[in-house]
Parts: sequence; C-alpha cells; structure tokens
Amino acid sequence: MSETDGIGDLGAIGERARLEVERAIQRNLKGLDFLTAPKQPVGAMASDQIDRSGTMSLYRYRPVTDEVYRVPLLIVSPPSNKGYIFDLARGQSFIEFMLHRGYDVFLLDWIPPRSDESGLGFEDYVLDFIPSCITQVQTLTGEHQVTLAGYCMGGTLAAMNAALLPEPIANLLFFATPVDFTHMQLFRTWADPKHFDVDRLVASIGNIPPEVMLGAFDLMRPANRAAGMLSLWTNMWNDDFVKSYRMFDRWAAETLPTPGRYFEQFVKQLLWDNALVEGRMQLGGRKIDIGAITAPVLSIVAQHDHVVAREAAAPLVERTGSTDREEIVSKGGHVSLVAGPAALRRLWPSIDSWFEKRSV
Amino acid sequence: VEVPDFDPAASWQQFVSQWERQVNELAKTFSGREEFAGPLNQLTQLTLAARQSFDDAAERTAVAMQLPTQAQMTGVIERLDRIEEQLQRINAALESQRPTGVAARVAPKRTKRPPSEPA
Repeated sequence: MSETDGIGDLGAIGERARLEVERAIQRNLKGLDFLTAPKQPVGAMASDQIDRSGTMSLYRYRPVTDEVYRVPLLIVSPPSNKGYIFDLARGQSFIEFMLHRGYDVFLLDWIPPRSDESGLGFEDYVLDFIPSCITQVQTLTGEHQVTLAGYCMGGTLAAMNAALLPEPIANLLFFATPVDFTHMQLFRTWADPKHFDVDRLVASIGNIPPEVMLGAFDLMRPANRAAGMLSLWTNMWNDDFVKSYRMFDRWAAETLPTPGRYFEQFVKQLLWDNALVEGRMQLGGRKIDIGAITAPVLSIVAQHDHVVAREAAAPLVERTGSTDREEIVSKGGHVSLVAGPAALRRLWPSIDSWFEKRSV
Repeated sequence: VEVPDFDPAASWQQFVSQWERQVNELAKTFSGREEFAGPLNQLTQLTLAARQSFDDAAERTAVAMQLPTQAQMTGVIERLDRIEEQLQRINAALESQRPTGVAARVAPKRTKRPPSEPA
C-alpha cells in the first residue's frame, strides 16, 4: 500500500464518521419532531362520498382522464381495516395509479360499527352492502357490468358475492384473499375450538375490539414491532422513510372493531369448518359454490405474506368456474401488494395490462 | 473523497432484519403447537376480563366524580354518528339536484380503449 493510499483511506474513514455524526444529530432532531407530530395525513386523490349507511361507506374517486374504460372498478376493503390503504399518498396509491390508467374507481369502505350493529354478519356484507354498492355504481355510471376487487377478507366477501350473485360481475381482482382456511394455520391455532370460546367472547363484548385481532398478529410476528421501532430509529434522518412508516403505523393503529356476529361466523364457519371452500357455507338460505364464479379472475398473492399463504388463496384460480383466470405471485408482504412503492413499478402495471382489455 | 463501502448503519439494519426473521421463525414453531393454544386463549380471556374489570372501575369512578361514563360518551358519539349519516344523505340528495353536483361533475366518456390495441 502506498503512502497516498493510506491518506486516501483515512480521508474516506473521516468522511464516513462525518456522515454518521450528521445522521445521529438528524436522528435526535427529527426524533423530537416525530414524537410531537400530529397524525400523518393520508389520501392522495379527490373523492366524493356517494352513500353512507351505518358501518358502510361508498366513495367515488374523481376521474383524472377525459376518457375511462367502460367497466367501473369497485374495491371492497376488509371490514377490519380502513380503505385508505389503497390511497396512502401520491406515488404510493393503487387508486391514483388506476385513475391515471383510465379506470373509474369506487371504494367500499367501513366505519367502526356501532353497538347496535354487532348483529351484522356475512349475509349483510355479501347480500346487502356489496349489492347495494354495485347498484349505485351501475346507476352512476350507466353501466351494468362492474369489476369487483377485494383485499384480504374484503376479497373473501367479494368472492362470496360473485358466487351467489354473479350476473353483473365483469371481472374479479383478489389481493391476498383467503378462501381455504386450512392454510391459515396460526389463526386456526389461535382460535382452536378446544380453548377458544367465541360465543362467550361475542356475548360479553358485542363488537370485537381491534386488540383481539391485533393480538393474533403480534403472536404470529412477535418481533415485528420492536424491529420496526429499531428500523425507524436507524432511519430517522430519512424523511421519506419516516413519512412512510407513519402512514403504515397510522393505518395499523386504526384497525377497526368488527361486528360480533361477523367475527363469530369468521371463526366458526371459516376457521373451524373451512365451510366456504368445502361447499358447506350458506347465506340467505343459499349454498355458496365458488365453482359458480364464471367471471375472469386475477388473484394476487405475496411471496412473503405471513397472514395469507399462497395456498389459502389457491382455490380462487383452481376451483372457480372461470375459464379465464390467472395468479400473480408478487415479491413483498401482505400490505405491500396494495400500498408498497415497489408494487407501483412491478405489480400494478401487470394488473392494468390484465384488466385493460377486459374493461372495454 | 469517496465514502468507504463499510456502512455501520446498514450493518445494524441487516442485524435487526436477521434478528426479526429468527424470532418470528421461532414464534412460528411454538405457536403452531397444540400446547400453545390453551395458555394463549387463557391469556386472551384474562386480558379481556382485566379490561372489563378496568372499564367497570373507571365507570364507577366517573359516576362518583359526576363525569360522563364511557358508555354515555359512546351513546353520544353514536347519536352524533347517526346525525352525520343523515346529513350526508341530505347532502347527497341536494348534490344530485345541483347542475354542478357529483353526477354532473364526474361524467367522463366511457370509451377508452387499451393502449396495446391496434388503432
């Protein structure tokens, strides 16, 4: 090693030290901002509330193109989560992406159920809320056909709806949607019928507070919270990282309570009995057969999804009656499918390519 | 001067990710077991019972201090919620009548063709 190299190395080490000191100062300054900051704003695109009825809320996003595809898109959010996950911020919004690609987008979102709504069950969601929103979309757009999309349990409810009332459904888009609950192993252990008294739970508290479900998630991934905080501290100097962290943190913290009856049906019919995929589930006196789904199906699953395994969603492409069906396995986890900046580059353009010719 | 490849923050981040993965994998092994479910559910029941008990105590304290209880506040919030819902419906009905309302504003042509389609 020459003398000049040695001086160069020392200079480089000094530069690294300067950078780390600068970041340490920034961490402390921005850490204070973080602790005192109000809620991180969410929502990138302008929308109008079309209807609101109890826990149900329907929004229409204002189109940003002069021309839109004929078939409107109705997204069903999972009843335990706020729908703004589809529209977190500019550059990180599935809705923004689809609007710019020329889709007319509607969102079925949920408001925390009131105490008098604890009796709402799957039949209300599948045979009342979703059909009511489809009717309103049809009236507003003048189009009979609708593309129905759903995320997680929103997708499960959409699948039930499409099986029972397939007629107006032009296409189906599922994000991490569980239908075969034998592959939701950790949830099944958590709600083991030998120990889990769901009747007592529902009878004693009515609507199920979010802590119950969040507790299950924490048990599945106990290190996530601590690791998340450590990553936040490490990256506190990085404004983009902190903004993204705060948006996801807000969304997770705003997990919604679920109606007691809905929760009871989820546990008994889906986790315990796996009734949907095994053809034993009935709503409104009619048996649900996912083989009755004939609309084109696109099912998106995440490679590293710790909530919904690929196998849990597999029947959507293996057992539905559609002849036009496809599965996309995307990199990332359960949430990054609908909100990750990486999805904007890779996944969402694939979704657009798939739907553009099926939406005219 | 070029910054050397060694990045202590990146190494730390890598360590955290690895630790997170290992702990979660370990939890997966434990929580998948039958003997885990019993105590876990007892814990859930206990947590809810403790919460119920705390809520009852807080309610008694609120009554003693002549403050509104949580149940009363929830009742007020739910009544406000219903009023808000009614206002929204009235607003939607009025909007649909206005020439510049939602229906009039959002009326794009539904004629878009896929860009991949030959012109």
